[in-house]
Amino acid sequence: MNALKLHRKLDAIWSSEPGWRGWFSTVNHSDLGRMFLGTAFFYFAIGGILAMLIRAQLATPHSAFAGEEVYAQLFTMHGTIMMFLFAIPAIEGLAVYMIPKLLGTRDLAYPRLTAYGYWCYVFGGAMLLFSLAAGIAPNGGWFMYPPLTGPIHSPGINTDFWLIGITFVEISAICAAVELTVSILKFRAPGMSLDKMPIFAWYILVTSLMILTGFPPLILGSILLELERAFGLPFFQADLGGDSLLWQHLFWLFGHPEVYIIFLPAAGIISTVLPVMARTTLLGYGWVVAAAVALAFLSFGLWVHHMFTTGIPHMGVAFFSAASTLVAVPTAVQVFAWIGTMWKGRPELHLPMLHILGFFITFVIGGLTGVMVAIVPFDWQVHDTAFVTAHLHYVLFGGFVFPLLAGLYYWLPLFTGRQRFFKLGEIAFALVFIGFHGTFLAMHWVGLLGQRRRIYTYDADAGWTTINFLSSLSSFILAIGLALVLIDILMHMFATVRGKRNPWGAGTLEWAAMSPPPSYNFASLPVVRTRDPFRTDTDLAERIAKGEGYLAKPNGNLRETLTVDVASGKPDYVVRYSANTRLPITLSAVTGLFFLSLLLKIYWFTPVAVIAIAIVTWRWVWSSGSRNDSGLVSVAANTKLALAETVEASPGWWGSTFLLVANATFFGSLIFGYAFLWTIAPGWPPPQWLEPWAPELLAGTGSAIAASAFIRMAMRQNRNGQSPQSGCLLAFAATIMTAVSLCSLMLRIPDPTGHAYGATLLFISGYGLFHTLLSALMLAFLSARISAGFVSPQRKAAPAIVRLWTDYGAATATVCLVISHLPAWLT
Amino acid sequence: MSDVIRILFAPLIWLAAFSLIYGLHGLGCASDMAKSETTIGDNIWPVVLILAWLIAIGIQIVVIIGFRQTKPHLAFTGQVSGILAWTALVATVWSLFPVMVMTGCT
Amino acid sequence: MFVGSAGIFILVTILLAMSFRAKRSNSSETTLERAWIIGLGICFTMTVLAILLAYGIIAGNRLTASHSEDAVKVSARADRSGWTFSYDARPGHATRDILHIPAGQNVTVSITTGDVIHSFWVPRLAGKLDAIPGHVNTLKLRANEPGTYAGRSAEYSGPGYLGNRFEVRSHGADTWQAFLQGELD
Repeated sequence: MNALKLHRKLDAIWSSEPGWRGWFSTVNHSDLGRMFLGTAFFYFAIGGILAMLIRAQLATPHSAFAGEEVYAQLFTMHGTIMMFLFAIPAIEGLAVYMIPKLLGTRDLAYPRLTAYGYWCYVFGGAMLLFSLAAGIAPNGGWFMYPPLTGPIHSPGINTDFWLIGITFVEISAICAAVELTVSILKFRAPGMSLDKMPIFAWYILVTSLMILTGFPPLILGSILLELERAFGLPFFQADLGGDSLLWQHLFWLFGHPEVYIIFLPAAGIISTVLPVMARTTLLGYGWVVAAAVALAFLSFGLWVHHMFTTGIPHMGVAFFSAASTLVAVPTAVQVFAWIGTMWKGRPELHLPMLHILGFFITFVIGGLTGVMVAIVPFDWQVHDTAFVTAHLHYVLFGGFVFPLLAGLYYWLPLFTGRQRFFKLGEIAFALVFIGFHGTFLAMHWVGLLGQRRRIYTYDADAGWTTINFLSSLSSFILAIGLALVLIDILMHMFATVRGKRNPWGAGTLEWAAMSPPPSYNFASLPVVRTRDPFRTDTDLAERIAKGEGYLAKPNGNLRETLTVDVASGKPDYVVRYSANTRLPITLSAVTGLFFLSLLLKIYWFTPVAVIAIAIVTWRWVWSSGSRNDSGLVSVAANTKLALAETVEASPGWWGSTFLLVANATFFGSLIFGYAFLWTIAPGWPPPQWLEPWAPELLAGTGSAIAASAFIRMAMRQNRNGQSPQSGCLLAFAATIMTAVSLCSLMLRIPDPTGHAYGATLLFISGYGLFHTLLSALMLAFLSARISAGFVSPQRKAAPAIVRLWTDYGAATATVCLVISHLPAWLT
Repeated sequence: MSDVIRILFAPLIWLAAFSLIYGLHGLGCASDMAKSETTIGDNIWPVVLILAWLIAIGIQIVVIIGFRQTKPHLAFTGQVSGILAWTALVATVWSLFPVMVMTGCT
Repeated sequence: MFVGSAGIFILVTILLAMSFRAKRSNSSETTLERAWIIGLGICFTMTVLAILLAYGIIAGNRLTASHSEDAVKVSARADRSGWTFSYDARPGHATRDILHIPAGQNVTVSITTGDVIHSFWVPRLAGKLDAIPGHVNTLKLRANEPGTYAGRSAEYSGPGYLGNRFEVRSHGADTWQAFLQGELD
């Protein structure tokens, strides 16, 4: 088969529906990556306009431009949009688009999930956008400190938009993180061992793991605050045994890793682009990987440094101050590895390189002011002044926007297959650079003079007028620069001539695909032997196109790719994807109804939405798999691999594992919150502990353990060729027994609106009940699949997945029951 | 997968030790065990914290030694996990050092 | 601190600029790694940080409140429209938006709030400390000279945040006694 014929055949299998209809049914990662990026930049523009309005208000003293209430909405939404609707989705979009191409494979691990995440982002973002347009946007600052945002001081719907909208958007971050993790670990070109992975993939892997462990505390915090607002459960009310400091802990437990979740992918772009610009390879690949991992871990030991002024004990502050300074070391290792790379090679000043230089200058300043605020006495002075605002913009704009623009300009020729023509990009860069530094150097200055952040105006005699005016003026230069970038990119997409393949002479696999890349990425999967295979092997692209690699023969109309062993990169098994479908958008719309019912307080509808979600999910999962055993699949001349449904460690199992990691972090944060309230909050012990009741405890924990045992029995039956139905049904019955025990517990809890103890206990047992019912639903599903003939001794993937969830449900139910009964026995 | 776990292993222990000792410190302060600002002798709590810190350092050293005696699948994993084991040791010493120089809950 | 930061910034800029000059001898990858990553990235950074941290902890220790017996004790209670101050040495008396203290003596301020989170900040006297519902934080401050010092809340507290200010008046021995005896409000 020649290259053109192969292309036509593969394209027919992989491409989305033509026209605008395709947007709603596509599951292709290139389409969705572009859609993610487009939407993210749309929000960047909105957030930018809000920033302009803020600067317009502050340009002169006693400005009558925006009133206090409008100004509060402006700065809250600016921060919220930039953090949650621009930065994170932009990273997801770039990673979703690039990762399969960098790894030499055809798609991400779960194409339908990519689409689901995207639509959750769109619908959740739309909620916030609506609130902004209607003038009822959140107004308590982007970190939403209660009690200001609690039911007493913010009774309006504004705060609910934030809590519910952001939680909805967060689903997309979790989905993307799970699938990027599994894709990077398993979905790579044959032969690509861990040490031959492109450095960008390492960064995205680390970032994804951070999202999985960093976002759950925020989701928990949002749910707790919404429960307090909607149903009066007093988690954050000091007079009822709650504590507003709990919110600060949960928020910053997310918030500080978030800074690195944004920075690490940007660093990944630099580590990818900079060596190419310097015509060499990255200095100290292993060191850089280690630095990224170290940074990820250390960033979880920093959260309290946002709370230095809350009166936390001195030793605790010292721990976090020490850890905060330490985090500078892996950052410095990366910065010096990059400068060393430039010394090693011959750097050329192309446009991406200009943005990287912009990054260096800006980020080093941001890092240095960061070390300053890590020093406690200094922080006590500048905390909550414009100095801190300026510092965080240096870190985020320097550490994220400049690298992102570098990456965008670097990969533009790949996205479009065209070459840049005008010098507009250089002019835009100059304006952005000058405008940015003008704006925020001035803000450092005025912050040191004592201007607080978030004030909507100031007196003419404060001596800040000139500086603020300079800052506002520069911010408009910055805005013009960014608008030019947009124009430049649009011109590039629609007006310029076709360019040659791989214009930068890069060595990574994405350049070996056609530009713009086809729906299937690679006509055949290349065998990888070095870290940049395309550098030394220049006719690799032709051989891939001609089908001289793995999976070159299209199999019917099946979308096929293969997975590899995590460490060595040896081919493992073949994966078959589902084709274009509207299930993802349907499911996210139904999920949206669930969130909407909470927002509008139409609570009778909430259970209806939950059932609808369960039904759509059931259909989603039902549609994959087969009823017949099939043999091995031929993937290359003399290599045959098994199908995913015949292994226990299937993609579904991997995904479930990482989703449960996130889930366990959520549960861990919940337990932390319980312990925190108990030990730190004023107003404890509560007026009344839960009465221990041994039969409930024994029935609950006993049946939980039994469920785990019975699902194992089902798997053993299946392995031995017997029907696993009896084991599965016994496990189901045991799970129902656990659920009954938990219900009984929930009914006996002391008044949850009267004290945070009851509220916390209600939430913990509700969490346990939810997971128990989830296990029950999965066991029912498994039982139906067994009856329908989807499970056989050979097709054993499904029971292994259900076992994971059953075990998790059993474990959490047990913990819930034990910690509910414990306090009364202890005291 | 064992390679990935090996890479994450030492920093995970640091994170656990850091959280645990911070938690112990908070617990001590909350339960009046360390409320009074006294020297070692009257008050057991600083000693508990220092002991926990020393144990955490000891575990990190054991991890470094253990890594030297086992070989992962890839030489690369050995390099990265080695660097991270040392990082975790330094982080344990550095970030928890305040247990030595400070006392009390103010 | 600013001199040090400027020094590091200039160092990085020079290293960046120098990478663009015409090429020099070919050092091996290991030599480069040792120089850039271990030398500059790790050793240089750790040294700077160790110095900074030691300074921070010592200075921080000096600044935090210790319950010295001779300090004058006052309380501050914030709400969304201002601050109410009360005095251990003059029970039953409270002042609104004006805190009276004696000059040249240590003062500990017990800070709390009646509604949302605020932050007590008198830039010329001490760093800021939050007022958190259900908690009491203590801040040590000292004004050496009699005079008036501007103070403000420094944690966003919703509408009215801008105007949430107060004033610290530090008195000489005579006027302070007069205040304590109730001859001065």
